[in-house]
Amino acid sequence: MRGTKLAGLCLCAIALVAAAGAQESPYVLSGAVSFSGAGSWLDDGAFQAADLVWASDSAVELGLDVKRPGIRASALGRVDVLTGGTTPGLTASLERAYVRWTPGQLVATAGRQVVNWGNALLWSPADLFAQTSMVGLAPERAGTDAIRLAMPIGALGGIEAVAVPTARLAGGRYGGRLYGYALGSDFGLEAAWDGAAGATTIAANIKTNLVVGLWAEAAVTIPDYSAESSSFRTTVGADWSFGSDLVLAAEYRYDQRPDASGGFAGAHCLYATATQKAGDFAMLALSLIADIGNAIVAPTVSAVLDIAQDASLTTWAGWSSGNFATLGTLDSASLGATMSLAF
Amino acid sequence: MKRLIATMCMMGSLWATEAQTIAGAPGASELLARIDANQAFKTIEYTGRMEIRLGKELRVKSMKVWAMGSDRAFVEFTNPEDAGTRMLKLDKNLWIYFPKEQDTVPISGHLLKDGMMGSDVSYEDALESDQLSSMYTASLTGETMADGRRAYVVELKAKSPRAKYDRRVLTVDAERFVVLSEEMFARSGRLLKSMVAKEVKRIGDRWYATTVVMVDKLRKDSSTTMVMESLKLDVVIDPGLFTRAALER
Repeated sequence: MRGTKLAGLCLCAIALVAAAGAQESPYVLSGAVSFSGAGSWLDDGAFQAADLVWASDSAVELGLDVKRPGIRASALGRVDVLTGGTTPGLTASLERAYVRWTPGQLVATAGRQVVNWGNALLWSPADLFAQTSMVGLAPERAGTDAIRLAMPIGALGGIEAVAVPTARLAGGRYGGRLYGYALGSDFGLEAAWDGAAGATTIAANIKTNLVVGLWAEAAVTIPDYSAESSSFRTTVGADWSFGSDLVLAAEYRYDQRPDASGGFAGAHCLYATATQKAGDFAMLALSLIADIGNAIVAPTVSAVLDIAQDASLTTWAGWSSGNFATLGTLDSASLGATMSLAF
Repeated sequence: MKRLIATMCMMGSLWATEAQTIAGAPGASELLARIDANQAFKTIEYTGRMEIRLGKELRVKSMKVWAMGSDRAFVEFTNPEDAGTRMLKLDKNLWIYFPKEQDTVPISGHLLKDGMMGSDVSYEDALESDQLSSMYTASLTGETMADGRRAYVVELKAKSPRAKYDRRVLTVDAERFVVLSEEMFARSGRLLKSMVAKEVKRIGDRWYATTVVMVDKLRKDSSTTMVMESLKLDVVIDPGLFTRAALER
């Protein structure tokens, strides 16, 4: 609730910055309108027509960026009108809403923002403040209501301090990061203390290029009290291409103590993608998520068509042999299409 | 190709640098020195537009570009689909910032061969920053007429296998010392890309190509026209712009 209030305050601040800058109008309003139609099927033991569920999603996404010398405010929200499915109705979400003040070299950001520290695709142990999940067809990091201070070191490095306060100060999360670029590699060292969980996490990440792109991240969480044991998680991945049309990427995640609330309860997981250009206006993709230990797989094929300036049509079909969070083994499948126009 | 930088930004800067670094046969080196004197800059700033033609279809990308020398450039896209996407080039390294995800991604290795934003210009083209004098030998091979203007023909031959193109043929305006066209060849002799300057403007005391058309000969029926508007040379630009912090700011 505290975070919601923080985001609300940021929206007010954005309005004030916009009003202050109305004379010169250094603001940009952008967004996208999209419509999705999808059908899904959940296997309950016997195929029935009633198992098929059709749904649609008409969405408007709006973004506002306001810039004044030394200060910037940004907000991105989305409204969805859902029909059919299990939860029809109207939903609204605020993906980001922050004010960024830049007095000299220091960068101070307050509000809902993506505190993006890791390089991995779907499982990023170095992201101590951002939760990644599959949103549609691709992984996406969620925004966090935080206060963030950053100071650059040289052209490609810097240090950061992040606080996610709560009503009870000792229940918040507080952390820092040192990052840079050396020997052809992006690297970072991170640490954070979680007051609610009573634990400290130390992480490191690196991304480099040795013909193929390689990344590795690792984190260890150490409880404040020795009665509990530490836990370790790591992700390693690579991406490479054949020519410039086919790009492959894959990453493996090991989590000693997986948290089902993150969407994946298995310790050993794999995420792989293959994208192939099909002419100048089309892209085909195949992705696979697998829980190796629990034998659950979920392949998805998709195609993205560039149908006009700033407009695209995406179609997809997917199947899953179970649920990655609950480890249930009911099959499910879905297919659908989304048309989107950016403005 | 460094002139093609983050699309065009660098394009301007690239060109300048290319010319200034070419050394070879006496006639060619003097000619290239003139080109350099005409087009070299300390900084460049402009609003750019990239028109990507694919058959009958047209896609337009717009951007703001800042560059310092040949090794530092910053691009921010402004067209709706890519608004807020930024690129930072430092030496031979490139990072792209995606605003929605607030994510910075290094572009390296194989991915550098991809066309930038679907254009005929690859990231590798944009990033090439080696001095041509270190990569190519040059020779003045003749004179020709280009769009009614007398021009010299200069041929560059790679002297290092690291050069992106084995051979390049430049047509250079004989009075303004602006590169009017260029063809880039593979070692096999195959024509890979071509460039034609469509508009040359006088900016201050120098002539500059402000509209060029790039064609990737390996693609079918495509071309990319790059237009530089509101171009300013040798203006004061904060070096702090060319940092990762600025990319994510």
